[in-house]
Amino acid sequence: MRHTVRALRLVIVVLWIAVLLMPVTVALSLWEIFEARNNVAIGEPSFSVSDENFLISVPFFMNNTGFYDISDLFAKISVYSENEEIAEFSTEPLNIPAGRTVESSLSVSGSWSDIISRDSELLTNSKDLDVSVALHFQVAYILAFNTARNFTYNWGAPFSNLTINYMRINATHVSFLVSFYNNASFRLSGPLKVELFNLQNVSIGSAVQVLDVEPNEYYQGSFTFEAAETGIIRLSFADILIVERRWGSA
Amino acid sequence: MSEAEVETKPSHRKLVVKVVKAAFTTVVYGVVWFVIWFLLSNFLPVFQWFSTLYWILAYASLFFTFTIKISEGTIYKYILIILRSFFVIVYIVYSTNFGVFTINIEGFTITVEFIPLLAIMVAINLLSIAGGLIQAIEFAAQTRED
Repeated sequence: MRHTVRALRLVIVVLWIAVLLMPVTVALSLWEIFEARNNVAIGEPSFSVSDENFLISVPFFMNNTGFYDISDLFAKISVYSENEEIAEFSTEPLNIPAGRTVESSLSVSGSWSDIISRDSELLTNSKDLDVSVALHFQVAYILAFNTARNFTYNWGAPFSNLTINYMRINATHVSFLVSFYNNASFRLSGPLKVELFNLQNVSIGSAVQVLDVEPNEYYQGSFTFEAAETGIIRLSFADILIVERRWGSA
Repeated sequence: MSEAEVETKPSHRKLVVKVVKAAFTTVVYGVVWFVIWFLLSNFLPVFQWFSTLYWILAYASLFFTFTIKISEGTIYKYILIILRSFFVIVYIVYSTNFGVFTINIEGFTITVEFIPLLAIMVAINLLSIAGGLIQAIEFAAQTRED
């Protein structure tokens, strides 16, 4: 039993030394990397928009001069509207083995319709969104680091000051004047669809206009339908419902 | 001088020697804890919560050092060794927030996760408990033989 106890003591001492030295060596490894300024470089972020999607890309370079591998390196962006998460994007995780150099880009892509489906007010109301940007990485597959920063992003609504004016032309025809400001930072291009329904929710007409509205530009369009009754008007952009309201006398 | 008085005097002396030895060892350990604190506070940015946690661990460790030393030659020594390991397990799990440290510096939230390291620390203390149990069994077996 004495030998067992001695062996146990030895194992305990060795493990304690290893455990206590681990954070020290990790700190030294990180110091080796960040000591030289040219070991890590983050380039100018680029932002591109295409139809329903957007892409944010940040060029990234790292020369891992430390003793340990850096794994699971990724950036995460979370967007909150009134304390409710409406979007979360993560970049593909990167692994940078010790002694290697990695030149890549941290890219996130998302779809506007996804975000808007979680907060439809974003289409018509400009508001301040809370954005959290976090950078995560693991050193030696044991210690994980996460650095996060929160800031406010002024979201400009693409259909700001939306108005739908209704005008009966004659007993059989009705006209709708749709106008809005594109306060978003991106160009609004795609089909704007106006659909009319009667009070029984049966479609009585629809029309489409292809939009191409630059940021901070005003749009005004007119839609005429053959309709004798009153009902509901639905306005949608690229299959995303913007607004639904009653038209005609109640 | 009665026979009883003759017997109690050496046992009193033994106890005094034990207490002095235990106190001396505790003071030596106390100095070590203080030196570590002195080095840490010079090289690392010291936060109030870290200081509190460090000194709770230091005082608890000194208490166990003293009591273990004083209970040398009894079964209580091993019970205290096991209790110390239990305390360390609970303490490191609680004080490290289950292996996740979060600090806020100039608008940045920095989180360090060391759950695998914490698991190893817990495992070490479990080994220590096992060691204490083996020693306690050995001690009990020996005293029965004697």
